[in-house]
Amino acid sequence: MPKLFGTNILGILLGALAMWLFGSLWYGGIMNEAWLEVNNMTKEMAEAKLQETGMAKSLIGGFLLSLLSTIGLSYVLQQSGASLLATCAKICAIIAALVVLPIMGYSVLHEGYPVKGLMIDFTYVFIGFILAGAVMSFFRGKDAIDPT
Amino acid sequence: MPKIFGTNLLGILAATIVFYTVGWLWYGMLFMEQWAALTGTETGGDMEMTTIIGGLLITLLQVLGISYILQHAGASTLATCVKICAIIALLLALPLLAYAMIYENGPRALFHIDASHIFVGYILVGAVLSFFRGKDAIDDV
Repeated sequence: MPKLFGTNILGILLGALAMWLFGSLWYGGIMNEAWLEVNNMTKEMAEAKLQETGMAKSLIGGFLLSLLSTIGLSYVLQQSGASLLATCAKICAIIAALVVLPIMGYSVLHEGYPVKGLMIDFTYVFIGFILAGAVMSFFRGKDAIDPT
Repeated sequence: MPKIFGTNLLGILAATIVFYTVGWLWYGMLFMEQWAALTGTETGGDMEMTTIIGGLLITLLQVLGISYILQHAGASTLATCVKICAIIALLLALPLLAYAMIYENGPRALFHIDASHIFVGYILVGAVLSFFRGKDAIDDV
């Protein structure tokens, strides 16, 4: 199986799938009501918006975004030479906190997006990145030199 | 001068100021009217101190994140630092910005403004940091 940034392609696809499935669980189940409340939406409004966007675009687009992020994480893991589960998960968690969180913060600071919404969104990315890192750790082979 | 993630503290601060200035140039001058129209935000008033400090902190956090990645890569030359920052922007930051476009049917023009700000900002941050990463860093190219 070919590799991308030192990670087996299957590992990248599974990492992206784990992140995407967690997103469905997070926004579609666990945090659904809280997220709708933060965005001043009802279930009917959310469904209408989904119809407007298109189910296929949401599903495929969402998976592609997870895939791109997972490839990005694989790139950073490759730069770090990480292969152990703990190291991969730790690096992905730090990337979420130091790169993703501040980018999300812009909308709170400049567009009035509620802090509660930021917490919901960030928790998704934080856990999603850790999951992707953990999954990829099993597909990074023996060549990777772990820094810890 | 103390170092954070292998980068001189002065470099971290200089990169933060450069990135913050790009943001000011982007949202306060070049694309101010388009951005305000797309987000429904009012423009023209004086910026509050909390917004300025918050903006600087957000920028500083990102510069620290980029330094962390450059440290793991052992990067020190200008070309390598810039390349890594461009890849991070494309593969980690831009997908994040695209979520609004995919799930909330957000305007594509807003994504273009935000994405170009991050892309240009990250490249400049990488360029600035490369001058403050010392001889200890082992470049991989």
